[in-house]
Amino acid sequence: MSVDFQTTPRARQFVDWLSIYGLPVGVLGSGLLLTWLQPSPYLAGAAFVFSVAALYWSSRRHGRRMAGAVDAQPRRSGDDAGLADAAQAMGEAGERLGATLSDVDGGLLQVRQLIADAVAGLSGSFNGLNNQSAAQRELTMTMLDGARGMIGGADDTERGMELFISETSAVLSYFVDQVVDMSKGSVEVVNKIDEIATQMESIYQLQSGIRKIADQTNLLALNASIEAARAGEAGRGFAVVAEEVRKLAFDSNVFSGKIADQIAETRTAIGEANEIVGRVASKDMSHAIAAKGKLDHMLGDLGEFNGRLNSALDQMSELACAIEENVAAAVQGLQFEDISRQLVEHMAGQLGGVRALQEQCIRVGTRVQLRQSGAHGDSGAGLSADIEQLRRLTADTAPKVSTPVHQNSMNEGDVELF
Amino acid sequence: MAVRVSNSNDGGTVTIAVSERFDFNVHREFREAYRSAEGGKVKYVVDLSGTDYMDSSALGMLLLLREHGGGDTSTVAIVNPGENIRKILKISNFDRLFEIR
Repeated sequence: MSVDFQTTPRARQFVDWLSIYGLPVGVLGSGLLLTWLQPSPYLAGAAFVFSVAALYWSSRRHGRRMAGAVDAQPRRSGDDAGLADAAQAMGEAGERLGATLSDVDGGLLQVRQLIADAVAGLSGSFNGLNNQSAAQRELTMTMLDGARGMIGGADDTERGMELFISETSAVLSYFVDQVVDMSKGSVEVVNKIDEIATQMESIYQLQSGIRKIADQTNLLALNASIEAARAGEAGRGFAVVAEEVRKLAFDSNVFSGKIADQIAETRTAIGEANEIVGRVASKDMSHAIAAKGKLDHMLGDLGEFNGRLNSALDQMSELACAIEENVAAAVQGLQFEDISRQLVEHMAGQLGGVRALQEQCIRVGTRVQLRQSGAHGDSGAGLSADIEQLRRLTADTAPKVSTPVHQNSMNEGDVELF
Repeated sequence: MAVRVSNSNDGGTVTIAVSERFDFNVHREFREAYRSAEGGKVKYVVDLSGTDYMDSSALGMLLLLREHGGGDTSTVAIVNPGENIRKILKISNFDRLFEIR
């Protein structure tokens, strides 16, 4: 930029002001505009830092140029007035920058607090989730264990449905054995009854022999009576004997008839007994088969259910492990708070440097102003020292090459619960 | 005849074939069938291929046949039982006392 010193002092002043403050004010203005559009302490801080840097750059350039001008020409009163204006403007800008810095500082503090609060809440709820998941798993395990106990398994034969079924099965077998045993006994009894019936048959045969003998005795007695009648008076006694024998034969027949009646009755009774015992012996086995079949089916179902239960148990364990892993990952993710805090602290530290720079700017501005207004007790050495200090601070606030936080990924580092 | 008996040529095996219903009504015939041979000297084969019903008295008869044949030393085979008959024999643990085929 070429400046014509022959132009009016007013215009020259304006050009000087523009050459120093134009860039920083522009940067600061656009920064503030951006911050207003998108409220962010980072943006505000960045805008501020850029504007200070721009201010520094412009003032150095201007200073070099002015030094050349001072060397080349004697000081003029018009320049002095411009310089005083510049110093005053610089002071005002410095004040404004100070206010913005305070704003940014407060913002950073708020961000830090917000992140810390959010992380504390998140880690609390994740830990709660983890605990609740563990409690839920324990409860489910207890329930499943109870169900397993109710069913009974290969390793737990002391209780459960399986035992109940096997015992029922044993009872059923016992009853089947009893029925078969009873049937066998009954058939044996029937066989014996059959033998008795056969013997009764032979008694009946014997009884008919007795009847035959009685009949023949009767005939014999009849013949004897006839013979006795033919013998006349001599056979009278014999006739009496023959009559007695006939009576005996008749009695014998009656007796034989009674035996026959008894035998007939016994036969009927035997037949009835046979039928009764036969009924006792004949038990339908289809009920037992059906019951046995149902029991076997139940045992099979139980085994299947047990298998399903075990598989559910395994899945439950896997799920619980997965939840634990996820919670651990989430908690690990929460370490960003640590990194963010370090970044914010770093930014706050940088802001401190910028604030010192800003204060020094004001100091230099004030001294220049004092000097221009001809105040007493102000030596050039003081100004030089202040400018030197300004340069030192500027060098100090230069962006560091190293970043405060090297960790860019959350996956690195150990997992710690906050 | 509800029960048919046949002897092998060498006289060592007595085959007793029972009709449809193996129940109490055939007990006399069944008994006569196995008593036709002296127990302990022959093998008995009970053919149930034609039998579709069997009650507990039949099981009792089979046990008496086994006793007649010499108890534990007897050789009694039950052949060709139907599915239901086989279930009954199994449920009564007859597969431990008899050769079932």
